[in-house]
Amino acid sequence: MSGKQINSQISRRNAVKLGLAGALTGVALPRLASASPGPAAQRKVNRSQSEGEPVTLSYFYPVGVAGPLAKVMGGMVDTFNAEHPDVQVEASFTGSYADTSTKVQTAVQGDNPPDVAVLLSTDLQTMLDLDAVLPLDDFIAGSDVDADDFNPAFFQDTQVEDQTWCLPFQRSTPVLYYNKDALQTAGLDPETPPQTWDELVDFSKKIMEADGAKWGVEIPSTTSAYWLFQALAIQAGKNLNGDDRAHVNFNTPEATEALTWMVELSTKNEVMPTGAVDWSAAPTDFSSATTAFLYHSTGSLQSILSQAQFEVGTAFLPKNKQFGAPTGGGNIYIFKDTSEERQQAAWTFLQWMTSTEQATAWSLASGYVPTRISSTESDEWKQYIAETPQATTALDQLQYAKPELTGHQSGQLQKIMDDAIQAAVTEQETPADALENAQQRADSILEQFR
Amino acid sequence: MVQITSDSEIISSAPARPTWERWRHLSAPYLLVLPGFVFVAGFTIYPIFSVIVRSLMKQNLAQPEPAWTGLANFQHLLNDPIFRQVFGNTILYVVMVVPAAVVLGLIFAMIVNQNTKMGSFLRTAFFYPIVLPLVSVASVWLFIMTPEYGLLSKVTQVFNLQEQALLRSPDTALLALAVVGIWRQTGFYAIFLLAGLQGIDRDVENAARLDGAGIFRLTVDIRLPLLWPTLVFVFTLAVANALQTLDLIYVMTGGGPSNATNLMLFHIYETQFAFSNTGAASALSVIFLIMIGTVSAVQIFVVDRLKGGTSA
Repeated sequence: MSGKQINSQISRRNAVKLGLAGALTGVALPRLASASPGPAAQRKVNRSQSEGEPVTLSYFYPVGVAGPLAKVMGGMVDTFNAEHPDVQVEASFTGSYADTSTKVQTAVQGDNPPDVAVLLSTDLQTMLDLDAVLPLDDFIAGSDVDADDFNPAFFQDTQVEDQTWCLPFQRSTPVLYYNKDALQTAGLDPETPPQTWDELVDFSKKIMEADGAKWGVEIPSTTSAYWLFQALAIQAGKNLNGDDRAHVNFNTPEATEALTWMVELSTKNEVMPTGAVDWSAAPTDFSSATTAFLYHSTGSLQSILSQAQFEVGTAFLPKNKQFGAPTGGGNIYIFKDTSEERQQAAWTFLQWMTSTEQATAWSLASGYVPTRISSTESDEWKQYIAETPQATTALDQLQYAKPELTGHQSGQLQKIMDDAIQAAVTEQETPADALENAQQRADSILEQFR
Repeated sequence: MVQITSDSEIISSAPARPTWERWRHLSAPYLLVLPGFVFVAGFTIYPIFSVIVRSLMKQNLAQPEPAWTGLANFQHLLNDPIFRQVFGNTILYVVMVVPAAVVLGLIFAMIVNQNTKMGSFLRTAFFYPIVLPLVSVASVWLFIMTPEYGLLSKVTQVFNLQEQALLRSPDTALLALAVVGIWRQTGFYAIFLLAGLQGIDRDVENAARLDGAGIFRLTVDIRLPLLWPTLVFVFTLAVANALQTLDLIYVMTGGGPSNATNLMLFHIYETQFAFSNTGAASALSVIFLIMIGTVSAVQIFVVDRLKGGTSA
């Protein structure tokens, strides 16, 4: 081989590589330049729609309670798709409320928001901080949706500065589930559940002594620990929410009293398992008669009823100074940064999902409280509660309901509260210290929003 | 200038080639490497640079536009008890998992090495945990450790021992995760160590045996020193893997109870994707980068010293 031949061979290979390199660089560099997620002003999502094709919406939804609700949701979406050939919805199950919130935030910041999503009603402030959602007042005015038909207890947290930002979809309160057979075994009246904190402890001890159940009560302290604890705080006299969305009341004497009582259930009174009771496992513990009393969402009702081999009762959560519970569950939101056509299609979907018919059907399938007053007046509901009177407890408890913990960075506030509860329940910190730390952590985050 | 071809024939002692040709010739290696380099630049170098820059900016839901803050994010982290707990947990987890996994791996490798009859069955038995999808592994172990219904609970009931709620107590949760971590990784390291063991010259071992060395002496004085480069490699791999634990935490404990199982990568994930605090997450990422970088540097340094100046 002569030098000249080698040279030309290299130059041929060179040419190919040069071409490839150039192409790759040409593709890669512009990507690198535009890779940063930006605030709302910079976001431009371009999803063009051709004439005559159905609008396809992406829809994220969580399941935060026990039961195969993802299947029910799938069924509802299929029905909607069948009835609306021009609007097709692709539903994605996105895990728990926290997982869904994370996924939505990430999608929004990555310039690829879903069209519709069900999020915790308390996530509203975070969505507003991200400038991610659309106000619905114009849509409501231009349609025949009666805003007054929504239960005011659920409608109040859709409002920020007199604008409606979402609609109630799957709403709940926590309730007391109790095992009637266990009460009977202990010689107590199965139709009279405990009404006060002291009665709860008393009944639990009697049931455990009579071998009616292994444990008296389970109040979960993992996922959604802050929600159940809120109920205790309200019952002790003061909600955890502050006066505005940049303040919280974590270290009040009432909260400390509530947390002390909760911790002493396992340490002093020994009616609750030690350690952090698991939110997902607790309903199974109840249905298998391992625990006689359970604090959980009304949304888990259907699942518990289908598994329990005994008679299940539901009641208001036992009171201390007063009855009380936070509202909970999810509202349904429409996202910005999509074309007007898609927003209109999303509104069609929202309207259908929150209609009286669908709201009633969803409540029947899950145990969630009907979001509409007209639902509670419907024949289906009346027939349902005749067979399943346990479903009315949450609805009746609404008179004592207070708003759920919310504010800026609500996800982080909830985690701070969860951490404090877990620290106290596992005896890493005293209730007073745990709440004090929680208040400090919350303040340092909320400062920047004041 | 003299040019030599592959036939070792002197072509010419003419003056240097024309600049254009020469440039083409000299630039050839760089251009050949360019596509790969662009890929690495785009997916490794640029993100690292970007995260370092972002760690010096404040950006979160209260401040959606990044604003320069210098080292304030790092300052914040040092004062944050959660970060101190997470950092401590991460180091603790590494200390619990790595020595156990590597030592167990070595023992397994030696067993397989001895036993040629059951060799391939044993290799499969040790290796399969690493092949299973991590989320499935985590889900199954979560079930095993659930009180009342889990396998562990059934075992304690049979032997009349106290009910264990391993994942629900801050004292035992991290240990429980470590057990799962060790279970998963040991076989993987055993394979590497097996290869290393089989690379040891039989003559050396036979000579030692002839000199009367028992299994203990054989292991400590012959095998371990000859296995040293492999051990260092496996050790580094183990530390890097342990530092990057995320799936186990996500599925089994969610970081709890009370942040007892909150490790660095999970904390970064939560800070960025659940709390949208890009500044803090970037600062955490930089610290994490330094941790992993240190591990790699230690490996290179140790192997370097071993081989007297040339790394593997």
